Amino acid sequence: MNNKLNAFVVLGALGGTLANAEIPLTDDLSLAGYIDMSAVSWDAPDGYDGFDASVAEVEVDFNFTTDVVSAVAEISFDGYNANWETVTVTYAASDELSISAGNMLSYLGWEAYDATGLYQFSYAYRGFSPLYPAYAAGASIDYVTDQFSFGVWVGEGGQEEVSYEVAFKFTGVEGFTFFAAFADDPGYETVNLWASYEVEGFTFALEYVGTDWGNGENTTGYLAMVNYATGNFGITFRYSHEDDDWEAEDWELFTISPSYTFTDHLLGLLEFSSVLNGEESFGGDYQIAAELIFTY
Amino acid sequence: MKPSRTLGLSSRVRRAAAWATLFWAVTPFVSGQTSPTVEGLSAEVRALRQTVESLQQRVSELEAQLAAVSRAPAAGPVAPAAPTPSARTKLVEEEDPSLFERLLDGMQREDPPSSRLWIDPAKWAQLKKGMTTDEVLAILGEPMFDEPSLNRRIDQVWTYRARNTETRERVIGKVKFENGRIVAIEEPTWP
Repeated sequence: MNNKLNAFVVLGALGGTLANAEIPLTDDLSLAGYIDMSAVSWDAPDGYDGFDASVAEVEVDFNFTTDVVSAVAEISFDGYNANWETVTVTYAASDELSISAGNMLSYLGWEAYDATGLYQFSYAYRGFSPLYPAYAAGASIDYVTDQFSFGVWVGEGGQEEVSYEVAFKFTGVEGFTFFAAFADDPGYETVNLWASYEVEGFTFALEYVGTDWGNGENTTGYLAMVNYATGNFGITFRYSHEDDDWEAEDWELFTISPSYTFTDHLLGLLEFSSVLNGEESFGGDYQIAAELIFTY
Repeated sequence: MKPSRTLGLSSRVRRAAAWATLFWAVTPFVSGQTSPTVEGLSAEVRALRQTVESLQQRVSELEAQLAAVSRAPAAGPVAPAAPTPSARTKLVEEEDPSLFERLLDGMQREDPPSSRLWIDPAKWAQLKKGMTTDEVLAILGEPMFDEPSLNRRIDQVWTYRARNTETRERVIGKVKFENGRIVAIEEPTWP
């Protein structure tokens, strides 16, 4: 056995360990990404049921990492347009403190932006869209420890004005995370609070989003989510609610989404979402979706 | 006559001259001619001497060229078979090895000992669910890849892989973590 064990050539990543990367290009540069495809069926108010099947997104991420400087460039292609997502250069001043500049995702939101981070197919709020901003160009300073993290972002807010975000996250209790953030954008301000707790295969999450539009009108959104995962199987239940002062009806959505992880790189899920309230203003009673995600 | 620089060449020339002399001396008898006159013999000896001198001169020239090639390049021009590369081209070649050379270097590169710790079933037998990443590092060493997983209960997947040089079979082992502790172990299939 020993002689046979000596007859091995280690297949290494060019002599180093690559974190969060699948395809090494050089010692410092690697490539990763994912393919997201889906089939969606929905009920429309005029009685016409819609259906769409597509390769929803192909994302390619380039990651460059050295001891103190790292860079990320994410390109997202939806079949029609290619867009930059995270494009940043980060300087690690210490193990805790880092400074970044570039195009980066907002701190806000319990739900992830990319499909690989979602527990289900759809977003929670009216029109199945997030209530928080996405990507913007700017600079951030982040201080991260095992107990908490704190970040400040300043950047382009649209309308030729500056925006800023401040975020705090507490992770000092095992399994429990509390997040609070404030965003000041041209003409409106947003407060986002969420908390999650993981125990025995369950993940519980609660979120509150409040936006003051500055004209006396507000938007309030909140969600409650439970995910249970065991082995390769998982299931998510989500209730979400959005109240816009200028809308006649509130939006209420209930979602069930079972999922199955075929491998660490291949996930399939189904979703059934029922619009409990607001179908007249949004249009549609339900949405059924099937999704397949492959990461590389 | 110039003294020979190489005794071996000089001795060969002398032997050649001796055989030539013998040939010319014997030829009249073989051909059936009558004995030459003394004057004729003298003429023949002179001709042989001239032949030997020219051969020795040629040998000397060849020895001089050989000595010049053996000297350092700065000593003087040499007649190469191919054009000498320019300094810039030579610099580029030294700094830019060919694809083959890079592949050969990569194949011959020694794996660091720490990268081979895991190639031992006894090491994998030490792993237990609940162990931390530091404990796994101490037992198996650095993984080849540290990647996320689409499984909600797995935060990191450490992959160790090698190829058996005899059977060409790939051997892969994985250790999966949630919150920094082992939740799953996929031990390699050993030959």
